[in-house]
Amino acid sequence: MRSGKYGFMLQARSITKSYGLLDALRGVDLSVDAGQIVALLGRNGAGKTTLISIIAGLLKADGGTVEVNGLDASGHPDEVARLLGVAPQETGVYRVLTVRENLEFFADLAGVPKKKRTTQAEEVAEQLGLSELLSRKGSELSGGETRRLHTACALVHRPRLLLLDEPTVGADVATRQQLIESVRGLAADGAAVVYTTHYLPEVEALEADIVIIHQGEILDRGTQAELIERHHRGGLWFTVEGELPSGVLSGLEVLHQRPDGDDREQFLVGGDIRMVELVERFGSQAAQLVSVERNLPDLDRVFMAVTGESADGDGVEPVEQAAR
Amino acid sequence: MRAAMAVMRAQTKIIRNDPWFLGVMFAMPVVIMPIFADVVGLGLQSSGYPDASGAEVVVPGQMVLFSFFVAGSVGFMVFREHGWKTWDRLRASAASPTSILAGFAVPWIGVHVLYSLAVLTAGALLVGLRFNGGSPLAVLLILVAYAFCLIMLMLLATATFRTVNQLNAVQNVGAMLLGGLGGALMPLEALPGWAQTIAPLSPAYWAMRGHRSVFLEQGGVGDVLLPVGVLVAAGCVLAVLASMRFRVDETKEFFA
Repeated sequence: MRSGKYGFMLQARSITKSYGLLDALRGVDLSVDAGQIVALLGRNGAGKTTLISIIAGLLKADGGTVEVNGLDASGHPDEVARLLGVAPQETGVYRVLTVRENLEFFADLAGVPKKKRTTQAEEVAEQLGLSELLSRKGSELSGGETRRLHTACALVHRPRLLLLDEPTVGADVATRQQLIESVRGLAADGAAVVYTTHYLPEVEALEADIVIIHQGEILDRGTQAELIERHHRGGLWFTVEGELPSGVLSGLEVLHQRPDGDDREQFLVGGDIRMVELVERFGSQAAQLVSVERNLPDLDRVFMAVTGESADGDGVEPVEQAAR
Repeated sequence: MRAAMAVMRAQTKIIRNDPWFLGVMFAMPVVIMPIFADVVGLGLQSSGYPDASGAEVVVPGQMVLFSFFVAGSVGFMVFREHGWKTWDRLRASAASPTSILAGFAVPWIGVHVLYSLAVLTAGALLVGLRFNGGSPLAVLLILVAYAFCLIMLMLLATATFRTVNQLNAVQNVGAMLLGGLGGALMPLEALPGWAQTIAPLSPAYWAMRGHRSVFLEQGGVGDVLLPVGVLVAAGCVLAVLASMRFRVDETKEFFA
């Protein structure tokens, strides 16, 4: 882990937060260096938004501390706020103001001098493909354009720490690409970025340090390659129709098992078993074997290995699904 | 202070870009004034003001009454921020809660004063409202003090209620109740005794008292110091209560 001249740009320690009986965050530590992109990866309800909200000062933690550029956030809220660029999960722009007025307002709010506001607003508009829309009102934008403006408002004052909570939800492919490029550009200029997402391809495109958060705890952190190296266990995926013939799983480590439709079940078995060997185990009942494939190393499967839960469905969207 | 100025500038642009509400609020008293001026004039003539045309009470009365609705806009702007999902963005900025409140209040005090001046001007053109020796500066002092008091009252209401429907209901009832009680709907002399007794509880009473002393009794600045002082003092108390009650992290329901 790298740390800058003055330590980490963001250092959150032992953050706890409960909603009634539900522990949303259970002693979370998160550090982000200048120029680093950290992707918080987790299912719905994992605690991503709660953590972002606490760092942004929108929510009070029950315990723990947040430091931004060495400043204690609770003791220096105004100074810390000036270093932050925050794009909350829900799209928020001023519908009766033009794109330019929205951008200039958020620059103004962050203390950008009047002379620089126009330049910076135009620059961020250019980055996010909003240049042609500067004189259009927020109410006249499409969904994707509004989402881009929403994120641009967080970037316009060139924050030192950028917090983006699922910035591409509802965005089209082109918008996603523009956002990712902008975020990478900002990080290249030295900003620290915390980025929550459901979409695994984005994490790959951002080349981010990945933090897997699950049920209020950070379970692991590393680059995609590091996580795959740590958690990929090889093996085979296979789908069976009807009842699994006895003896097929004998001596095999079952890493995952889940229903796949009405009468099918999907298994992940570990180890060095070859496809031919698996087919042989079915013997005369091989017709029940609907599919078999190698368990290839990818983020989706790493997530499942770390959290013990499927990466698809309600939560993290796997590569194949998100790419559609 | 810098953040408050930024919020003020943005709110001013929002008001400027969305002027329809103010247009309607201006049209309403302008339409009503000519209807009631003659009747009220007759009443005033029989109450010791033989030269009164009725405009001296009807024009300020309508302005004082509809001012409640204009002032209510400050609350709707706060609720609208929640509806637009921009409230959290304000909170995450360097703007303190006090800066945010000031950023909303100050532009609306200015708008309120300009609105009042516009209604008075329309009254002069349509039903012949004249100073008749009264002090224009005194009128301006009343307008500013009344605007301050009403905006703070509406900020307190905004801080208190969680849904825009609650605010709307309270604003409507409050306008009719406080406006009527203060003599904005009909001259104070026409109200029952008990109503006249409790009338000073309404900011509208003090505003109407000030305007009457200028337009009916040729009053100067010295003659409006008491109503202006009461309105400013009440506004200060309301501002303190609003800032104590206001919770920036409280969710407000706005159905856009």
